[in-house]
Amino acid sequence: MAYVSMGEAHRRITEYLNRFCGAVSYQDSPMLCRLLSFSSNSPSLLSLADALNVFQDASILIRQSDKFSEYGEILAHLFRSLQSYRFGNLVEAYLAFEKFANAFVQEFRNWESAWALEALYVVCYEIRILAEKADKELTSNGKSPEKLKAAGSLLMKVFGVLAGKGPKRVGALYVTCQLFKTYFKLGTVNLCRSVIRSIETARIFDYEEFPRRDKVTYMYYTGRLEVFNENFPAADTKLSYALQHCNPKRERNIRMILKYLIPVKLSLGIIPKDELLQKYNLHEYMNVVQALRKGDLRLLRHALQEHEDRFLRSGVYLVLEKLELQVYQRLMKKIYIIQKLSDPARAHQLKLEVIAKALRWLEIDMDLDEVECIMTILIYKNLVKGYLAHKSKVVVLSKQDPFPKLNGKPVGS
Amino acid sequence: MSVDFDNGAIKSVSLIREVRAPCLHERLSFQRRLKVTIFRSVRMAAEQKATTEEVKMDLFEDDDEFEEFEINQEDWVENEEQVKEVGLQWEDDWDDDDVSDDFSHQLRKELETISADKK
Repeated sequence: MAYVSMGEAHRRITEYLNRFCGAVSYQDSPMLCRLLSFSSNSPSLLSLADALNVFQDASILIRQSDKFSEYGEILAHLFRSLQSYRFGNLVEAYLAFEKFANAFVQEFRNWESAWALEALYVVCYEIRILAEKADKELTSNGKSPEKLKAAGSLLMKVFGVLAGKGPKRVGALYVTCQLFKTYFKLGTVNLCRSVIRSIETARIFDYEEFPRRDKVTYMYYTGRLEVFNENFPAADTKLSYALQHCNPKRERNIRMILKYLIPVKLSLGIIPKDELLQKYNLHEYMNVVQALRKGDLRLLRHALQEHEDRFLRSGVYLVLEKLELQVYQRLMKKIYIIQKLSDPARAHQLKLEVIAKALRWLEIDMDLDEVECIMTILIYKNLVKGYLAHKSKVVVLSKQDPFPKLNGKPVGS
Repeated sequence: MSVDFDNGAIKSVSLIREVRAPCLHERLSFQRRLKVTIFRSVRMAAEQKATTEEVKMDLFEDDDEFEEFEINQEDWVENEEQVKEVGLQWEDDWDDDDVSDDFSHQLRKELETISADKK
């Protein structure tokens, strides 16, 4: 920390106070954003923190002028938070910032127009980030992390402030997305439900009014929830929207969308082109796609095993494992086509024995009863059209379209 | 079947592999029931570990947190072409009758040995 003279400290603090009050008076939102972005670690904020440390009691300066003391409470908490932040006392920094945020939101409520919406966004973002850091500090000291949860409550409060009839309501989607990030991090994704319901059913909100960037983020998270709940058509719609409208320069975001969209598309019988997987470095899906294309059950199992950790962490493991049925379908189709080449008259009869042999070749050991069970499931789920001649241990395929395509619908729907 | 809280999720799934449920259908519904247990066990494992020594922060992380878009800017300009291009990266007509690939050749050989056995 650089040495700062008392005089210089006085100057810096007064300068900040003037900027803050000026920003409010002239409704200069971009300026206000800069003044509140702790996480930007801007030189001016850091040098202000050093000045506050030297000056010790900045409230003297605040009280000096009516202009400043109007925002006395807000500024006092803000300064305390910044000082703690600078010293790396993140729990203290969070607590003070929370108080600042509460005071700021009260003030925000009184401002009629939505001029300070972006500054409010910054406050929401900063509080989440500070809460995460505070929780890390708590856990590293063996204590229970609870600040991110608290930040979630504050964000809900902000949401409530924006859920009104005025122009401020277009900010609600941004806050929703901050809430999503909070809940996903905490693992309490069930809490997303109430805010989703508000956004999608409350009459005050017109979804089309929200900024596109917030819609993209919103669709990404609600799309992920649909994947988790295995509503594949809904997941497809939402994640596809996010993909199509995401800023194309933000490749990391596009990759994340694809990471969830690809298993969904596969479940609907749609395959990503290799170029897509290459471009966004999604190699973990390559063998899965190949397995589906070929009907190679062994390759699918191998692919799932190889990337088990990764798929489990993102929660798509079970979605991918269920592709097994579609791979079975593809394999049966191949057997059928191969049989047609040598004996077209009897090709529509698949002996369970033959299927068992093919499976054994793919390192899947099943007796004829088990094979019969699989075939029954395939027929039940409309992946195979036909019936089982149980006594003769044969699957008799329909002469017409024995292996119906999914056509964008999930299996068994 | 007990869920191992140490590396709960990963070990649980390995157990699925080992439990040879006679019917795939049974196995699938068993897996679905296990899904909740898996996620709960990961959560519980995380909470247990949090109160002891070294905290594995990755269990609290969401690996796939969407990056923030800049606030102080206008939404990016959308290019009609780009929007369409993204849509063209998928194939829905891959499920053809082509059996000229290696896998199909090997499968055919395998199936032919069955008929050979019969003769």
